[in-house]
Amino acid sequence: MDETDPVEDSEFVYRRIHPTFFDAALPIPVQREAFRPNQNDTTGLSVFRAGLAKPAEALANLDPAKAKDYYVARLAVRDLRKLGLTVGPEPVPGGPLGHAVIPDLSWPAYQAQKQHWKAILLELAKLASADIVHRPGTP
Amino acid sequence: MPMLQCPIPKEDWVREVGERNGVSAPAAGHRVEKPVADAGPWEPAVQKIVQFQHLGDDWDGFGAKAPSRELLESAIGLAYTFSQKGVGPPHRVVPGVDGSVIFEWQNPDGTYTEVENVRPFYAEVMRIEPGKPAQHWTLPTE
Repeated sequence: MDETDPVEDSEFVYRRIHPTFFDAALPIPVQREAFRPNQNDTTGLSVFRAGLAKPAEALANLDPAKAKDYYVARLAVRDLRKLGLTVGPEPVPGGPLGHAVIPDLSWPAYQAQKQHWKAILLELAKLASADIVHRPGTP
Repeated sequence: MPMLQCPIPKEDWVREVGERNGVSAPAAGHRVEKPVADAGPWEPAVQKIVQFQHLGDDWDGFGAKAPSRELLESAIGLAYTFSQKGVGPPHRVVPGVDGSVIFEWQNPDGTYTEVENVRPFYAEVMRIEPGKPAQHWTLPTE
């Protein structure tokens, strides 16, 4: 697989989860804010293709002091499609292999329809809560 | 009517902020102080919000904005307003990536509610009951 290849429905992607947005004591441990785009997400929300990267590699371009506390969740592209989301390749030169984006969740798109997207982000949080593949303190 | 859907008049919210934080005359470099009055069941939530003043911009390593002092004081005021009205405390309080503060409830029946303090004296509420579409409204209600 090449990282410029289209993303197939059969693939999985990884999403980084800041520890602030994870509480194992709750029924839905991941907070939906973990999927909210910020002003830097102009082309979409960042994810990493599981066929091209290991979970920990999704944290490779992050300050190590911060990266050690992050979780990584795995999401099925098929499940994203059911929510009306698409995933497209967006390789980052020199960055971790397999970078892709969910263009529907760009900063401008989110700001334009916040109410609609908030409910979708909650569904993403539920999916992520069910498949945490990397936890703080693991290599 | 679920307690979270009770009316939140702006005057009540403003009064709570004024009493707890003294925002009418902030001094330069003023810090968000722990309010003197105990917030009862909401005390852990208030403590958490006070701690958010130590967040700086880019606290997540991906460009997240830190909440402003005014936003934190407003969120504390809303916490006290809810407390006064008998609303149970949230199960989670988190900073948003764009400088907001979010209160979240996850009830045993599957109902999910969140109040996002977007800017001082303005919050967006989303409530989703199982099998029903999401409900949205804003605070203050009047």
